[in-house]
Amino acid sequence: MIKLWVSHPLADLLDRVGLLPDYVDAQLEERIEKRAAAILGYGDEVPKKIRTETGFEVVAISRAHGRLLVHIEQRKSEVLRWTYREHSRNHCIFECPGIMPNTYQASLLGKPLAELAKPGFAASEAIIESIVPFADGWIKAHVAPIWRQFERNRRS
Amino acid sequence: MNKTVRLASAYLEDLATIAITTPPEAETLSLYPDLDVAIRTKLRARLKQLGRHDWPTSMKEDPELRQGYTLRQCFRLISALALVNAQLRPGIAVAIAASNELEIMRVILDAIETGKVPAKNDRIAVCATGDLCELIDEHGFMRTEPNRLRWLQRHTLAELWSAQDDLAHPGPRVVIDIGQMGRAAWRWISERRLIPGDELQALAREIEVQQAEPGYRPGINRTNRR
Repeated sequence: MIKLWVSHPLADLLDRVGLLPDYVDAQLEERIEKRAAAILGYGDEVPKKIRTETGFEVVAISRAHGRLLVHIEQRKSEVLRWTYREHSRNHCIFECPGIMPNTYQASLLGKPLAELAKPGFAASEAIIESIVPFADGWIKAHVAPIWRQFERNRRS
Repeated sequence: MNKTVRLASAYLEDLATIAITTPPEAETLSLYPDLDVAIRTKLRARLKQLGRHDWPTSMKEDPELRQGYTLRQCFRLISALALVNAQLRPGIAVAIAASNELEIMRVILDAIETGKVPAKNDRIAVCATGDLCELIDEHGFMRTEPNRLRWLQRHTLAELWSAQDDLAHPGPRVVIDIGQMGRAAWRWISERRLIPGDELQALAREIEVQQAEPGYRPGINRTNRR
């Protein structure tokens, strides 16, 4: 048995389309067997399915160090509204446009992401670790989602 | 002070595809290019080839390269790819891109700033190549400076062999619209917000500081590693 992790936000999205993390992992394994990069891109089955069935614009699902990582670039009428990218266990980033005073920023640390923005899936529960405003009017929040362990079933 | 945001190397092939395939007057970009594995592998091999010439940079020059490519390095890469795409060999392409880097950056930043339509005042790179001239007439070859890019405006492109800007000598000319390639790349990066707009401002300031420097600096940044 090999232990793997999936974040709550991704598990939530997979739940909504009725897929198991194990299935995504199997798809990635298949890629590796074909000597391709371990990433499900924009045109692949799982991201496509999540996009059409839930409306969350998943652009890539990859795997690094036993963790399934999701990248979402949410658009509304072709304008980017927010992005959520998981780069590794402790490097998950949520970005959205907005301007906020410094005092308010400090009060958000340690609170769930829902206090800052409501993306509408389990990422709202992720805890805000730090907030960095950009000069171009966007806010970058480092967030810490909950990670859930799952096991890879033996395949023949 | 924010830490520099870098473009992960996983995006490089997409970046190269966008820069090379987007026509200058394109209204929309294909944000998620659908490349099959074989093409990706070939593209990556070409990028690796440039890497052997320490271009856009090397781990030695920039130890943080592991975390990705800065915007400037992305533009460096695009300029070399533009020349490779014109069927110059990587060694020459990198030499030209390196010695004209500053001017290339200025042109790309201008193109991004000007905005949508390719304007007639856009500066377009003209490269007077002459590999064989070196054998025949080394002195003349050195005088014509084959590594120097000349810059013509879009509406004066007819003057490719005119006396203006010492283009009078005969020989082939390679014409490259680097500015629009850079603009397409930046549009793609910013529409997906892979690098925030702050980095573009920072790059503009960086180039602004070097205002007095000549755009063509032969032999700069060159290493012997191959």
